[in-house]
Amino acid sequence: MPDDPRQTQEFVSLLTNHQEVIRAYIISQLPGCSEVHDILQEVNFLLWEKRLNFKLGTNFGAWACTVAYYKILDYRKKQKKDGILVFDSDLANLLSTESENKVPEALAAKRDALNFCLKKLSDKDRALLGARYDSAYSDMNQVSQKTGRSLASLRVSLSRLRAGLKDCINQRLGLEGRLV
Amino acid sequence: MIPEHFESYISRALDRDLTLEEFTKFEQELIASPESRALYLEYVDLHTVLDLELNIPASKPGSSTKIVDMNRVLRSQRRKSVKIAAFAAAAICILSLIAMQFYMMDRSPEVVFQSSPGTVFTLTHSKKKSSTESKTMEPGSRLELSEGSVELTFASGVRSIVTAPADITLHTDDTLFIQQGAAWFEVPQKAIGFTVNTDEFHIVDLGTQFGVCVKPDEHDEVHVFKGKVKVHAQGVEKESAILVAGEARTCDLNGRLSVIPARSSAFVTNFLQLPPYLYWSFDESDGFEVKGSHPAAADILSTPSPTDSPPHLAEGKFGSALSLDGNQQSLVTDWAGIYGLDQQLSCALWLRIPEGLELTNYSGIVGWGIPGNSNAKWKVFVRHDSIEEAPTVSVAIGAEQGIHWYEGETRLDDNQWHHIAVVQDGKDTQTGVPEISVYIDGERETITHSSLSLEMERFNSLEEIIRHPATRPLAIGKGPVPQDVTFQGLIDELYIFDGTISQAEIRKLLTQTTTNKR
Repeated sequence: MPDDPRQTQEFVSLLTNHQEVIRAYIISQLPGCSEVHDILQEVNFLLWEKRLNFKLGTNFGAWACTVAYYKILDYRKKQKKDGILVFDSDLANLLSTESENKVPEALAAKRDALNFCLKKLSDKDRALLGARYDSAYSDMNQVSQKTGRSLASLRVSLSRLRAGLKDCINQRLGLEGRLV
Repeated sequence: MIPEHFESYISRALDRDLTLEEFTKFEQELIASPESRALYLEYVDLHTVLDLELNIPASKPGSSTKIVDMNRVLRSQRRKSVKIAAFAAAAICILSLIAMQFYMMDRSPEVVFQSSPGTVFTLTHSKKKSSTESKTMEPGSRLELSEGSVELTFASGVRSIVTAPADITLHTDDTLFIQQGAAWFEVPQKAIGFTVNTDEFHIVDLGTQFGVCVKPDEHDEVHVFKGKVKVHAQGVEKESAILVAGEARTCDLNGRLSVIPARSSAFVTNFLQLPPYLYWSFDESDGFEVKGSHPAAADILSTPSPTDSPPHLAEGKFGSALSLDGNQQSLVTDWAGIYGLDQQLSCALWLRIPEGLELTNYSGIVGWGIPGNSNAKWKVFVRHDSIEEAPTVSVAIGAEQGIHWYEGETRLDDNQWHHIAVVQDGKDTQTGVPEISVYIDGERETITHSSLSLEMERFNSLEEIIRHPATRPLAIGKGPVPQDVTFQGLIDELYIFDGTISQAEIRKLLTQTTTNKR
């Protein structure tokens, strides 16, 4: 891709539009990782540095995920060294192949649907999800302390809430006939 | 594995809550079943959008929140042209705000800010519904400056100028937390009660102008320039005082206040919006290094010459200055310069020439290009034709038809600091002469133009000029002509701008610099 302002602008637009796709890709490779935001920023920087290698008109998401894969490899090694459980490389490869063709529109639609579904939750359930996704309490023990619930109860509730939200989103998207 | 168990495992994996044994089972299931992988990826999507909707990033200083490193980006861009680099920097600004890009603004921002050229900042928001605009702050927004300065304008009418290095967070509509930095505030009557917090101070404005200085390893300071301010120390003693104009306090870790002299010079009160520039401060901390907002700044090498008797740093107008003995000392760079009479460019510096200067002929202050009769030559120099005549500032530029000279009339050899600015606006006067303006100490200098028609060697492209073996890159303390005598005296706060600067901006440079060293 030539480094002229118009094409650079197009690149930035693609990169901006694919943020959720890249974020989801990172999470799929490193589930439970608390440094997703940091990794995403590093991947963004790497993509920016490699922008001249990208051919406009080709699949940006797939290219970005390939670039991200190598950055994630570094993190996986680091996590492994720190004693954190990480996927083995065969599984990481499989997941990478199966998730690299996601399109931004699908995630945007899911996000819209999520907003609808969140409104259907009770205040208590929303508060629980809020506590879990508040970055100040990323560790489950902290969430447990904050919410005053046991770890076992938290696990069950979060699993139930996620399953319910997943179904609700699918139903909502099915109703709207939107891309999943 | 039965589906319910597997879904529970996914949920727990996303919470990093699986034991080794459970994780192994989970992995095996994922490897064995494409349906399980699809389900897992579906949950990952859910987790991603939940995180985006519900996550409130920690905004505490020193938290792990990390934004694209603007320094790295700018460094990587400085090899490109000004236009590309400026765009790229803007693009990365967008990237640093990517996390917020899908949110819509609910209301007008509490604070808008503008940055001076070359300012390197990162902006993070802690609220999920933050602005997509790149230069707005709302409660929870954190702004970190590593270079340059910003002017903040609050919805309440409060105005503030913050200079780097700085780290500020907007806590509420009218409360700002300063982790680091020098910040000057102007608070209108309607915004009385505006509050600034630091680790050591709680400062409530009572309608005034004041400054707050927070530096690592030093105690915080409050300086009042107009009106009144109430200060409370945060330590155990929690001393408090109402300060009036001309008063300043620092406080110790125990919360006791101490009187210090009020220093307006510690703060920038005029916001400078300058074109891209190269800047030599000649301060001890920088030495001969060039800084500035120009994309070339990161790559330029400034080498003192000659090596066996190089120039040194001496007391300057602000900080230290480049001291040149007039005996071949200079600073030689590897920057080609700016060519073409249709180009806008400016140069500003302080200089001090000793009294009783010996005859120096045409000693260069700054200059670059191909010596001889070429159209690729630009220099500012001291013209000193005879011992009876006053040394004055002059400019010589090469044109297609000959050489243009512009000579000032202010005598400079009085051992006093004088501020010199030269502005080339890229246009011709009505008489077809390239327009050059010279300012001395902020006043427009009366200049005499003369030209010499010569058979000129013409160069039409920068590449052609750079390739020419006789080309001299930017030198400080001498011009591009090797046999010219070198400058004798002191040079400080040298700027070369890739554009024009106004008289008002030149006057601001008399009292402040882009690095706020006053």
